[in-house]
Amino acid sequence: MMEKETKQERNERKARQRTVKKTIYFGLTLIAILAFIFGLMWASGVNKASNNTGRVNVDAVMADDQIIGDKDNVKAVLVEYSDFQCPACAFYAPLVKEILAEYEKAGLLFVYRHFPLTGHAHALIAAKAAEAAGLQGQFWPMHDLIFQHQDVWATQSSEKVREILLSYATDLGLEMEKFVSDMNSKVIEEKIQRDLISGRQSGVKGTPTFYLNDHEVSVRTLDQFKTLIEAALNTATSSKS
Amino acid sequence: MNNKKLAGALIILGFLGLLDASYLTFNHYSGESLKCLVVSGCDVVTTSSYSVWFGFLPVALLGVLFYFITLLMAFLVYETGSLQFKKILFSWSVLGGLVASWFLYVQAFLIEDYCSYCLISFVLTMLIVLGSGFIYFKSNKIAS
Repeated sequence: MMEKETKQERNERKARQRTVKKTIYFGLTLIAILAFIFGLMWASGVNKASNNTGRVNVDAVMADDQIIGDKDNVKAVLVEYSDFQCPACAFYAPLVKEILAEYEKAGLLFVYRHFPLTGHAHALIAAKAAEAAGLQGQFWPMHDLIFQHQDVWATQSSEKVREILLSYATDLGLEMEKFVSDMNSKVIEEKIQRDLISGRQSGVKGTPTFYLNDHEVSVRTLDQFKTLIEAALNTATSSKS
Repeated sequence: MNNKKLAGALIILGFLGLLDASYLTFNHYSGESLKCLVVSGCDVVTTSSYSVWFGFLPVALLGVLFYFITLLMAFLVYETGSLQFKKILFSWSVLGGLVASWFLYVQAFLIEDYCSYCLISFVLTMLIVLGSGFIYFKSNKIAS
């Protein structure tokens, strides 16, 4: 009787041990599969990054492009195709600002071009407002205001968005009559269309898209951005000397 | 469908969920840039402040963890058929279901935008809750 019980107990213990073993193997297999998949995704991501060569001379800077930097001392050109209503663009705006604060003097020229997406109902009017402010020398302050308060205006009705944009113009001390007529002008409309077309020709499929010296670059963090820009500036310096 | 087959189905569901969450986690950590695409809209959801807990824990990684443990539990149910494991699996998946529901709410009412991979994950989690509930209550009835 006693022996039988222990035998049963032993069998149970063995069964338990087998289950634990199997479960561990199962878990390890899962981890191996996951590691394999992550490796695959990582490898494909790396390939994508190195194939990004949109060779369409996007960095030919136009006279009326919105730029930051010294046109007489250009070692690298960073072009952004952007949409004022795009959350990702708003995310990158302060990054670009930091980049410029650090590398503008070293010869980095930044060009902002419009790529208002059709999915964003207010992107076009925001672009027009920024350009209209630009005609009074206030493109960048307007650009900053629009991005900083994107979450405030982006979800409003068209009428309200217009009101908000006008209030920004007032805050910047713009001449309002001129601002309003500029916003509706053909010149600005055509300029935005020109940016859109040049973007499409360069292969822009979303916003923001950055081109550094004519090559599309994709970055996620400030450090990645800095590394790329420093490399571009260094090659420019070393090839000149 | 008997319990063993159902547990097998849960393993498959859990595995799909694991793939889905891994993809989201990879996107979170990889150098892929954020974009609003002409065709498919913005990745607002996966980059929102709700996508990270306590400032460092991406929700997608929590998803990976959830599905991993679910898979181990489902495997144990599959192997042993023990009521204890069925109960744990069910409770655990209900917990996951609650978290998934919260994120559905966040997407619908707070961000007002959806991410397709998150919706897939929600559906998978709900199916796991249903399946594990079915297994648990069925055998609980037999036992009592």
